[in-house]
Amino acid sequence: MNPDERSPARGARASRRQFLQGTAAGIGTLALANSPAWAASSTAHFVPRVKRVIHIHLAGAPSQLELYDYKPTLEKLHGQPCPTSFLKGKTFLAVSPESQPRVLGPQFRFAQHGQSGAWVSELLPHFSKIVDDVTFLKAVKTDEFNHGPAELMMLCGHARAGRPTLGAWAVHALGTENQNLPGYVVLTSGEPAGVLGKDAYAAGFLPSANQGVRLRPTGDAVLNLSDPAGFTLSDRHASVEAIAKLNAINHAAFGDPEIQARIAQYRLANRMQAAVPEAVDIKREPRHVHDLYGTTPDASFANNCLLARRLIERGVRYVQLNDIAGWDHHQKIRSGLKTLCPKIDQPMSALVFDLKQRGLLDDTLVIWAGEFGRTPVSEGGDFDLEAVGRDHHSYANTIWMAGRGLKSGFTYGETDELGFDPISGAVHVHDVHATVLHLLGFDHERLTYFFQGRDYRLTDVAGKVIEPILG
Amino acid sequence: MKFRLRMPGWRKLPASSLPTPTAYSRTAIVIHWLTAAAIALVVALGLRMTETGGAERGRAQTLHMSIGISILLLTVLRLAWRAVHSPALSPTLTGWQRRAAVATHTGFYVLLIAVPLMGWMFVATSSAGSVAPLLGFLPWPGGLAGNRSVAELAEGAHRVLAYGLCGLLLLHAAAAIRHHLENADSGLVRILPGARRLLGWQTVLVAGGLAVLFVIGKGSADSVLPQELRLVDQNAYRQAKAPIDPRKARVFASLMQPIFEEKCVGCHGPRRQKGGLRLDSFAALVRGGESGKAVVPGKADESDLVRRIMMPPDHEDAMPPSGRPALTVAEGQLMLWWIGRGADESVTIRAADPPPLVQGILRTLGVSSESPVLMRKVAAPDPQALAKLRESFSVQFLHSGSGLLEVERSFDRDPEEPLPLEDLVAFAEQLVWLDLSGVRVPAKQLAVLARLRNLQRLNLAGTRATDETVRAFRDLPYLETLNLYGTGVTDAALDSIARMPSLVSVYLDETAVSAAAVARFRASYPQVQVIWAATASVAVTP
Repeated sequence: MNPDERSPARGARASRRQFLQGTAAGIGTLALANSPAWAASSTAHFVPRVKRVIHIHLAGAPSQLELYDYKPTLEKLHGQPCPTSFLKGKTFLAVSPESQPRVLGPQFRFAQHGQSGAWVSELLPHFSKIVDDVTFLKAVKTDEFNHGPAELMMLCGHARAGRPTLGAWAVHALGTENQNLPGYVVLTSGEPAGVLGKDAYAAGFLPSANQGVRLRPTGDAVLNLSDPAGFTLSDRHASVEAIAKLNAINHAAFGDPEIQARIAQYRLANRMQAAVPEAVDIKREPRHVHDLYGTTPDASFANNCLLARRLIERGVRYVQLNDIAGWDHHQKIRSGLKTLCPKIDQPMSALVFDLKQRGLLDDTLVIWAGEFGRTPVSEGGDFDLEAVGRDHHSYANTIWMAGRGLKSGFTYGETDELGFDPISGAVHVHDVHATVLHLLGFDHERLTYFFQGRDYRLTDVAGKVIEPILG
Repeated sequence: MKFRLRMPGWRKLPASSLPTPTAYSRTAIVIHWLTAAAIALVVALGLRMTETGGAERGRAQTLHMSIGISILLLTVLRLAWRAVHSPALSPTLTGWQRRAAVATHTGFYVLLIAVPLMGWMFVATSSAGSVAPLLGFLPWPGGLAGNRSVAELAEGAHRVLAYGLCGLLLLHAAAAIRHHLENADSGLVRILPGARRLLGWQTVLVAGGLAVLFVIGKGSADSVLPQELRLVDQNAYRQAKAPIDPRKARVFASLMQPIFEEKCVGCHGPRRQKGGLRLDSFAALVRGGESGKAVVPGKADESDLVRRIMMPPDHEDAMPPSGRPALTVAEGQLMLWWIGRGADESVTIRAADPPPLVQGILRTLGVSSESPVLMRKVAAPDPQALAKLRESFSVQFLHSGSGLLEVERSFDRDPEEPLPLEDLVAFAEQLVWLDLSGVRVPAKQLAVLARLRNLQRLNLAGTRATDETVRAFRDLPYLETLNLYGTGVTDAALDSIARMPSLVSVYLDETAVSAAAVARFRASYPQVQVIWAATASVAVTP
């Protein structure tokens, strides 16, 4: 291991090479992600269930109480002051337990769907049709009650910036399958960056090659990947080869292995010039597939879902869909969800359906999660149904996953009658991470990286595989 | 001095005036005494088996089976020899004696064939199903695992007929002695040349030899047997050869019964029933013993059996009693779990939904929902050959330390480019997952994949695979997942798919397979998941 690779990419001592690696969408990052060393052989600890992941990250935290966690009692007590026993000792962002907040019933109707009888809100009519392919975790706890730390917790297993994300760990552990594409791709919808910016797909202390590569939703997917007008791909190839010759002379003189790495990077970037535009061109998909996903002429979450399938098909290891569309409904939760849910319902359901039909769900895990839940009580003084919303709730949230190795059509965990706390099947975000690594064939306690004098894990010193959901 | 045994009521017959019959031929004599020696040993081992447990029991079983099968073969050989040589009965026998002798001999031949056959059938149909190699090296067919009713029937028949054989033996020996006492030219002399006197050295030697064999078999098999036979451990063989599949294996048969058999059945089984309790079958366990029910389904803590196995070993109620190997902590936990969740005979491990603690134990026992083909230990292929394969395919080991291979199309290659699929055949032993999706080689070339007999997952989505291709795969023994998405297969492929022995899921969307054929297939083969949708949509109908 090159000692350079153990130090953080940012910081005063960053070398020129590290600077290039750290450039999010730079060619250096792309090329390094495809280091041929990855292709050598598997490091998995046991037989993997899945090989790839699509992680749908809904920044801002959509309300589990409006989508999945149906609470009839909450409906019954709607508008009444919340019993203080539920609030005691809890910390929220805006709601204070002393202010006697009022219970806010589910704002949408629920019904049971599929053979599994899963409760789903009327906001997700398409999703209702795929519940039998999905595994729900209904009592997921996190340590953090505000977006930045909680999103980092969900993505990196740690509430402060500087750690690698789950995606970076996965690519670090498994490498990439396609030498012409990055192993970890990030697609965003809504705002381009969100609270976390590039920390949402950072490699942290792992070699920067494991960092997520964000494909831009409009224009060129990767900046500077297109050749200037009048300059053909074969021209580029010729120039890359000419530079390689010069570099080889340099290498013969100095013997620095970094020069060889550079030669390889340039060649790979050259190959990507052809591969990336083909991979991201969803226009090549037939009409009925566009109809299935509900794609749009402009960039959208729907387009990203279809793109995610195309990338998975081409051997990309980890695709992270960051939907930064404004799920943080402190106010106007009714109208907010009515606007946003139709934008994700059909595409995310189509993604699971399409992956299943093609057999891709056989080796791909889909994770759908916000960073925390939302409070069963309303936020704010007035109780105007069109104006009220819900506060951050770190004590219980619903997430779902789909893929081989999980019991499909299965729900694990239950919250109390108001949805405040888990009463059974409580799991922590660390447990979710341990389970994802398990499905990828890794023991989360053995997947470590030595940094600053100690071995780091994605789950740090916590986490337990959620055995009851394993199929 | 001529010693003559006189028994009341025995009638002395006049000496025969017929010429002295010739002794049996050397072959007949050898087969006769070999059979006698083998029976002495096999009966002793059979008795020993029911008294002991664990590895020793396994060894006794293997040897018992080996000798039993030898007797079967020897008897067949003997009958064939007789058919040619047809030895005459002693001419000194009277009419009723002659009839009795013929009946006894016929009975012998029937039993010498039936008893080993029943024993073999019992082992072949019992929970493990696999028959240990004879004498530890000679493979012997088995593999009718889990046929409980047949196993029980065969075991009963084996035992009853074996006792019958012992009875007949005593009769045979008594008749021979009596005949000898009454006639110097008896059968005993013919089969044991030189044994003119009943207690002559030959007779004593033979009787003594048989007795020694019996004592060895029954008593201290371990101390007398050659080292290589002592290493034959039937239980170890079972564990290595037959990983437990939680989807099919039953908790009682696969997890509980082996514990009972190893730790309890010696005193609570067919041989002895201490406290009136037998633990060698589910029915017997439920029946309980003199002190009432041994097991209260669903209530582990109220079950006498649990109370006793959890006791300190020196307590007088503790089971197994002090001096006998106690249950391990893991065995105790398994039993607590099984009784606690209802002591159900038929529940499979998967359906029983083991809690994490039990899952941990199950893993150590080699219980895995993985296909048996993934549980094999195989040698990694030659690195140079692998490097060559990597020129055309993307190749990975399933996990570190595994020799099993996963092969995928290489993303660097043009899908239309020719692909040396026949190169894969050299890796048939290791290759379990193969993904050729999107590869556009001619359909005919895909047929070679049928030689990859260890394939568990095969992805041919978007290839030129046809009904003929699928037909070639119909006997792949371990194939669980077959992806034919977007290929040209038609309804005819379903006939081949129906025959695939291990198939769990098949992908048929975007093919020429009709809705009606899928519906028929789903009705006939509910165990196979057909991924096929009438409309490629999750759209909501208004």
